Amino acid sequence: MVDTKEKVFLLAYEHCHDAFLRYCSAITYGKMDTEDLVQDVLLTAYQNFENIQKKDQLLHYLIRAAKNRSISHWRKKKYKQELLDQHADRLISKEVSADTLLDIQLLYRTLDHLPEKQKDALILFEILGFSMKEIAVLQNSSEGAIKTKVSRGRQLLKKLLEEKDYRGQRLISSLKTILV
Amino acid sequence: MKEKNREVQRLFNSARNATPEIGFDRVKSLVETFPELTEAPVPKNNWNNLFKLKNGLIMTIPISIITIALFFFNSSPTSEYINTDQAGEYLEAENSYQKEKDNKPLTADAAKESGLKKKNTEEKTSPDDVRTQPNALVSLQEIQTKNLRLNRDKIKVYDKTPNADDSYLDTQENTIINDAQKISIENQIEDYIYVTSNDSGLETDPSSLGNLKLRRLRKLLYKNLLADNLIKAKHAYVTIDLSGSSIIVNGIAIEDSLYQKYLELTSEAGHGKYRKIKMSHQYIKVGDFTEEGFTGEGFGTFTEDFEPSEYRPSSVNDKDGNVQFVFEKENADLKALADEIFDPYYGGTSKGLFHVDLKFENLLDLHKGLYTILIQDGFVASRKFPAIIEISKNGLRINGEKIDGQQEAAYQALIDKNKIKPGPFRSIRLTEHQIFAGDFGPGIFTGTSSTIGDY
Repeated sequence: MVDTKEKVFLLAYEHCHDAFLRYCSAITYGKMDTEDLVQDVLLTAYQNFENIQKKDQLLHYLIRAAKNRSISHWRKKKYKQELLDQHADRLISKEVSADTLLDIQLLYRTLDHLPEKQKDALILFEILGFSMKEIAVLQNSSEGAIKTKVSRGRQLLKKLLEEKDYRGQRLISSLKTILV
Repeated sequence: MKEKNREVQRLFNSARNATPEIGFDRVKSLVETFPELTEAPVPKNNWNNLFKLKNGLIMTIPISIITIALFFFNSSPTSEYINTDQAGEYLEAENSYQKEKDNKPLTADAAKESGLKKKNTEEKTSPDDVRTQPNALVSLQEIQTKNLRLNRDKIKVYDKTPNADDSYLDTQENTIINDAQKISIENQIEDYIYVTSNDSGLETDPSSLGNLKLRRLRKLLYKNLLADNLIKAKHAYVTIDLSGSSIIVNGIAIEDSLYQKYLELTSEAGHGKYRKIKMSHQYIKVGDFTEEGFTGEGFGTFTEDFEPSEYRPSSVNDKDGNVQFVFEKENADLKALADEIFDPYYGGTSKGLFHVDLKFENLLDLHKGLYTILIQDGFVASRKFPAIIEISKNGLRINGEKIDGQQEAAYQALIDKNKIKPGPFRSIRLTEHQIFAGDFGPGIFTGTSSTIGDY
């Protein structure tokens, strides 16, 4: 029985893995070990798996759970250098190129300056590839409002990247130092 | 601009296409440990999970309100009996119990036969005239013993007579003794309430009522007495005699239809040969009123009944400065006149703001003016005779007689000049050397009074 549940759970989870991990990486960046969050959320999902009626929407459940934990735990925390290092090490071990790693680091850092809902909508839309409708369901909002959030988030992100170009350059140089 | 958009999109693409930092295999190994972790799941009925602050508040607040409401409005069983009909139904069982004992409550006729005064009868009967029927008393005792918790700790309150002679005696001629001030003194007299164990040796003691119950009892009794037309004004002094097999309100035995209701309403007061409830809007006293004094419980501001002579100056000087001891006679004459006009339970008072509060000059002016008109109109032959002028909304009555409009105008002008408002128990009482303006009750006066020298 236990084996069956585990297998069913893993089968349902397998399709969500990439998106869920990217989401967790984006929201925990520099503030919490992604693995801790993944384990925490998955354990809860596993325990309540029988109660999740729409198994095909497990990803929505996982994202919502991860988001709730982010709100209550580490949103206001500062970056921890060891977590930044850990993130970089893990990606490198997965044979992610240095340029891609820099892009990801820059993106996550800049996203962190966006309002929470805009940041979340942008991550879901641009990184996870969710549709506006799906995001609206997840955020308990309307499709129009999500479109606005995504659009404004993107504008703000662009502006931040322009304004902080100088700081971005400094970040890149510091990251290069780490990677070397 | 487009280049920047492309730059942003490139960053997103990098994040989207990058391999996740934790692989599926790692997650799989984590999930494989879950069955071990979840072997002992937290029971769903764990109280810790069930407790939510919000739910707790939602439940606690209404429960607190209900509890307080019950405490305030339901702790006295008498509170249910404002409605006479309900009281009758509710007490039917007890009534039958009483009938079984062949000790029916004293009927109106029986009360009349036993010397009690009924409503609208002209004969005045003191409650002392009511004689207790022993059998009925036993029956009443049984019923009340059934209803009351007589084995409670018994509390007795003594209200000692304030040393009125010291407090109010003023031998100076023409000195105002303002009874509004007296009330403030009486407030201090609450120190006279002592709570000790009961040693009265009487049949039963009032249950331990406490201030809250006493206050509620007074309110409840006033409501019902007014509704049943047993008193005329809400500030009337009320004496309820519980000494016999009938309940006597201000000297009148209540009707049979109301008996059971008032029996229940007064059940907490207990019963006894000397048991009475005395109350005004200022106080309530429940207990035994004997010649030795009051034994029982009290709430509010009250003193032993007193006669004016007890606190008035004992003498007044005449024009030549000779001391005259006139007050004893004057007060006796005034009391005799009042007794002719009013029944012994007549009286009441008004609340603080509406007390009559006059300066000596006003009182002197009133004394002079009123006696002049009274002599002119032939109500009194001279100032040697006392006079009582009742001031009610229905007009003025002098020495118990209604006066016509023309006569009334002159008196009313004087009264209005001194801003004395009408009231159900308000009057001006005059003797040769005294004037009292205010509200009168049995042995109680609330208002302004003064001694007046010869002029």
